[in-house]
Amino acid sequence: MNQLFRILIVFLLLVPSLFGFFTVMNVLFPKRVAKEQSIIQQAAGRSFWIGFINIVFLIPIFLLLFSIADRISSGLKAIVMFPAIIILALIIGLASFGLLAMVNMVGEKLVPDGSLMKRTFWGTLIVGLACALPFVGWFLLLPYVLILGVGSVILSFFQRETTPVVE
Amino acid sequence: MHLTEEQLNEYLDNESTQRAQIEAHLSSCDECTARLTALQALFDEIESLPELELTHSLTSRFNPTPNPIPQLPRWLTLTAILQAGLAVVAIVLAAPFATQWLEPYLQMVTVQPLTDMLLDLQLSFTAWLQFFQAITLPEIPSNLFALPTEFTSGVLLVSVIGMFLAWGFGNWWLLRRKKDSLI
Repeated sequence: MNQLFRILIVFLLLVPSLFGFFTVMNVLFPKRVAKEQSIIQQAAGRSFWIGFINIVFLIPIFLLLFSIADRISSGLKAIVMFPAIIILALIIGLASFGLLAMVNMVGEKLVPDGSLMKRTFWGTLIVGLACALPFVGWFLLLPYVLILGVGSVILSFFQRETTPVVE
Repeated sequence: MHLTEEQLNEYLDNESTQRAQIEAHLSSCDECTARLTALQALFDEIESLPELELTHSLTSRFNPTPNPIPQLPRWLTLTAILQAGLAVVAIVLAAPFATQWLEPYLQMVTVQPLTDMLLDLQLSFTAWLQFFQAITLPEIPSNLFALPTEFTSGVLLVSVIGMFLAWGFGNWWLLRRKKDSLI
């Protein structure tokens, strides 16, 4: 029980750090994030399935590549390790942008008239608290948020500028 | 002499004071009638457009202080200051009598010394620090990525290729369906 409480605290301590990270990302990539947000609102189902396919396949591919690299001791190891690291970086990048889009969407629903900082803060806090909930948050909400976000990021690269983007 | 845009707009809005003259002119001037018809068509088109709802309200941007704090009348402010001053004087005058009256009760109350309070606070703080120091992230086992030896490297390689193909097919299948959503 004590360990559970500790994990919960670690989760909550991440919130200020994530708030800073998301604010910076919002400032650096406003158009990309707005497009992802718009996609989540317009095509949540499609975003979910695309995110699901990518998470379900990319993570095992990354793990398998690492397993193969673990067995190789020669110079070939670097060749196998390289795509594994690229995939890991890709997963982290997709998850970051996806989570940011979800946080922004939640923030905008909670504080529609608030400033960017206020929306990001409330979005991060609420999503962080919700995902910190033992078991339901860790194993249901967090994967759902991540999958939906990742799907929206991938779709944002393929969708043409035909629909109005929420600024 | 033709009708101006302003006259035509006022006529369409039923705000013109020269309706009779305008109508007389329109009956004899084809050009002004055509302009009036075009203006009417434009207004009809604008009215037929659907009303769009904004994703978020812009009110706060244009009206940053919608409810400013109302200022009290000057006489009321002065009265409040006077009342506060009188209250302070009353407290100062009543303090010796109140202390005398409360003394037996105050003797019954035992107040913890400040040093003890500070010591308790310090102990609580140390306990918190120790609690945070005890937080450890789960250790990643060194052989996390090691699969059973039954899986040869060839099998793993085939699995990776298969997964890559499945991943590519999944993305292609989902991304090609642009118009209809799955849900």
